[in-house]
Amino acid sequence: MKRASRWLLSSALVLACAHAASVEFPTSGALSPELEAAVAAARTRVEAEPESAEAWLVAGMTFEGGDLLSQAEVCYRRALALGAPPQAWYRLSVMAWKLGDLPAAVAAIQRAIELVPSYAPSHWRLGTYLFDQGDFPGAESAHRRATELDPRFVGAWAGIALVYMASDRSQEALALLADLRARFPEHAHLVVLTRTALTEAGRREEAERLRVAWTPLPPGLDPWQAELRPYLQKSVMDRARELLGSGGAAEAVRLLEGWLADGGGDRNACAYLAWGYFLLGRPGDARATLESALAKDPDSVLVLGMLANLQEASQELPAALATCERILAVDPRNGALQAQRGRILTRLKRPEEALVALGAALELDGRAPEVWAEYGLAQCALQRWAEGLPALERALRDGAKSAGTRAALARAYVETGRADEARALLEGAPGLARDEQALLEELRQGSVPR
Amino acid sequence: MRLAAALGALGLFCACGQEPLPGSPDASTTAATPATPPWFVEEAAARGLLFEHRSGHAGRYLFPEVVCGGGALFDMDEDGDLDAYLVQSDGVLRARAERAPNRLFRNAGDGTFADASAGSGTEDRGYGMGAATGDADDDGDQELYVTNLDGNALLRNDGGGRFQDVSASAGTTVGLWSSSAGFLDHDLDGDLDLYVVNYLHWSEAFERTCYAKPHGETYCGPSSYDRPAADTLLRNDGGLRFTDVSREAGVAEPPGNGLGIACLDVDLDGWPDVFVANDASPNHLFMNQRDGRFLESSQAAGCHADQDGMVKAGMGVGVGDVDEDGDEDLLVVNMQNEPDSYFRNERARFVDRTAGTGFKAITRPMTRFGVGFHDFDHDGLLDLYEADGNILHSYKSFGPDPFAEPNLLFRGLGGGRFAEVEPRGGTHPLLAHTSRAAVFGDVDLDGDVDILVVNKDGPADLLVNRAEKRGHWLVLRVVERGRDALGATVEVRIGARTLVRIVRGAYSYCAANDLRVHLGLGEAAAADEVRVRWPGGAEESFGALAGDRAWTLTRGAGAR
Repeated sequence: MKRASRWLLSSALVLACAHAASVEFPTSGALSPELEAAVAAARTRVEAEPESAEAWLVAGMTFEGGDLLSQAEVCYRRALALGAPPQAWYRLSVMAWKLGDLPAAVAAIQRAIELVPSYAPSHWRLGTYLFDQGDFPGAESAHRRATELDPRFVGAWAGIALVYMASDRSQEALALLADLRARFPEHAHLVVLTRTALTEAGRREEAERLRVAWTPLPPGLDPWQAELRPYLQKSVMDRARELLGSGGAAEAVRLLEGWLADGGGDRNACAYLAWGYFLLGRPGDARATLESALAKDPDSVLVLGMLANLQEASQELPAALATCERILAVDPRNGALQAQRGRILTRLKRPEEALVALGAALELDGRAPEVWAEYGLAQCALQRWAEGLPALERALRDGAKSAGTRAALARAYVETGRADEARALLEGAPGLARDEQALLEELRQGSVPR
Repeated sequence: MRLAAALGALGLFCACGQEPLPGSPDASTTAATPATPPWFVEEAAARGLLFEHRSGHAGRYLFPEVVCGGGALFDMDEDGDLDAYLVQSDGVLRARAERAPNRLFRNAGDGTFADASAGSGTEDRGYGMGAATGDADDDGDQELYVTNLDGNALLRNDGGGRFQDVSASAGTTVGLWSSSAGFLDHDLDGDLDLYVVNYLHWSEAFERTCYAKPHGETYCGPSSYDRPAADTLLRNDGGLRFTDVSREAGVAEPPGNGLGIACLDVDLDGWPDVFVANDASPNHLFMNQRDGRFLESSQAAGCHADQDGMVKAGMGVGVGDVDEDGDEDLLVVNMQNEPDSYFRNERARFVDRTAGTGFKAITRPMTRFGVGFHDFDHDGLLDLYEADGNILHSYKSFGPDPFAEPNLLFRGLGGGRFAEVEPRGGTHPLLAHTSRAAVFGDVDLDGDVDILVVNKDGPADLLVNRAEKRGHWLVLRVVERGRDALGATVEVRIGARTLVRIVRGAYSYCAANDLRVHLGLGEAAAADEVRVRWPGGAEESFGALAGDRAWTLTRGAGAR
């Protein structure tokens, strides 16, 4: 009976839409140029092959890749009415879920499971939907089935842990997460979940010790989801930014040059293009690009900031300092620029001014451990050990990586009569630098006043 | 039975034959008369509340445009009804004098309004975000505090609908981009201090261009700027003068992209704590240390991020004792693809129990801002209203405004579970705007809670409560020292149940709400006992109170 119900549900879902009139596409004027081109191509194909399930499936993925979800949903339904493969049910379920229609999402994924019962990600999706619905036993059962089919499908394991937590079964969640962390040490997200479970269990101190940044959890091998990847739209700017951050400066420059030549782009694009030129060893082109942008918009903090970065990286410190000050004149609450100004002043051997700038940066935004480190180091450079010490402690606690931070803190401990703490800091530390080793040796020998 | 259910669902699914074609408005905007009567009727224009918000957007995407839209429901003239104040924005780069001003509307006593702005002194022309209300000078009437992008305004209530801007002498301008704010007596010295939530350090010079699917250029999010601002705590020194004590009080750090505020007593120690919903940075929970200082405790308490550890785009905050265990729980609403987070309070430790509420799936596609738990149908259970409007673009089209979304209404089922009320948003026809603040209060004095919704770049909606009532009601004005006792806890015993409500105006998003406590009593015609725990912890019983009427509970008039 249950099977019949599901069949009816899913069949109804498709039949109701099978005779839908031909799908109208959104007007191209409303879309980004990249998406407009992709939609036009999908449309051309659908018009040429209106009875092709694959053409409709591709159109659905094109819309989905551009975040046009309700349009994608209609295309997937049309594709299914024309005999699309099971993954169209999978895609349809994802659309319904994202659009907030949980009953439709459940029905569609159940149909996908009926057609391909061995596909673990479908069971994981079902578990996720049932979890959202508050059906915890159903969610646990579905996630378990996913893990039986693919024991390395970590998303489903995490789903079970979430079910435990949502059911106030924190001890079971913690036991499972401990096991998962041992089996999947590469997934930092499991540490995040453990932290939540510990907090929920009232074990705050243990939770506090698990400081880890949130990272997404790749759920597991999911070839049907991977089919969507080529359709995921990204703007030229986003692609260029990613390329600049991943060693693809040449490709980024090509993209941005083309975009600007076509009349696209903006001051962001000029700033990133300049950075690309700089990375490619073309500082002249970088300068020219920035100067051209500044001629149009002399107060653009983004462009001026890039200019300051280029100047600092080129060791033109007085010029970089002047640019920072030019920015701060129009944007005085720019904490990052105050920090940069402080760093440059330190390098220019103007420590008192550096301290003021770094202090102002911390007043505006005290989140960056590296700025605390620079502030502490600047204090220590002026022999103000007591003032520098708390800043260095905070920098290290929050994960500062600046060279010399730990050594400076150890020295500050010594200079403020806390040699035992200096020794404890260094003895527990991995990879001591030469000056740290020397200080530790002195501390062990008692040649440093305690 | 299951087959029958499936056939029922077949009917539902057949409706998708009328699914909107891509690019066309959603079918629900033109749906036929709903099967159940709507809970609310939109009557802003009919009741004289004519206000059109303007962000001032003119081609270039300037970040402050996308999150503005706030207001207040408060009794400006002490005549016993709620007047309305609507905050205008109108052009980030425009000079103040060129902007349209905020508007004040006087309630005639029956829920109809007349524009009382002219000569009232309330026509502030900052780039407006929201409002807070409270009797800051202890003279029995409520001051107005307006949060702006470019300097906040404290408007002293001189009585009779006349206000005077005393920001400069009061020291309350702040000078940051402020969003929500709330009056509270944080040090229990008897006067009202002011907590101001600040968003980020924005300037035109730092503005940038961002892109998002599917339309291309659009508004940036706060992460694009990475310049979160610290909040401001202004201590009331008497004589309507305030001192910025943010640093010594411990709220100046860490910074966050603050948007929503709720003042509540998390650990039931009688001292007000502050929860701040931050946008794309961890939420903050400032626990009162009972010596004028706060300790930021969100991570330790488990409400900085959702259960999955994800820091979401916190917009508005709803607060209420959803599970009826005597302490208040939190609901933080977020952006599209980030379902609400319901943090159940386990006595100063929060557990994210969103999955069991029924909010997860339905809220996922929307971007929610204003939010409030109230018992709209008087069945004795808290319901929930959420005002929605996107910041990128909506997954479905609801007309020419690409940010427009319908609002959501949920009915409480008990046990912390909720079900969406149909028609969607509780209105017919469907209202779809870019909604920001939802301001809650009984504007027509009929004993139920109405909603004023401020829509960005659109007309304000006044949703008059017409829900079919399932029980009796009680409205309580809780007063000490001649003013509303902000932070007082009201415990209403009905048989074996005890309903807990707090006197507060600051929750939702950029909103100052009705300070009176409203309760649905269900089938009970009266409360068996009403007790008030005053700020600081002293308790007082006001005995049994008959339902279906409003009472004033004055400190000292009950039995200790």
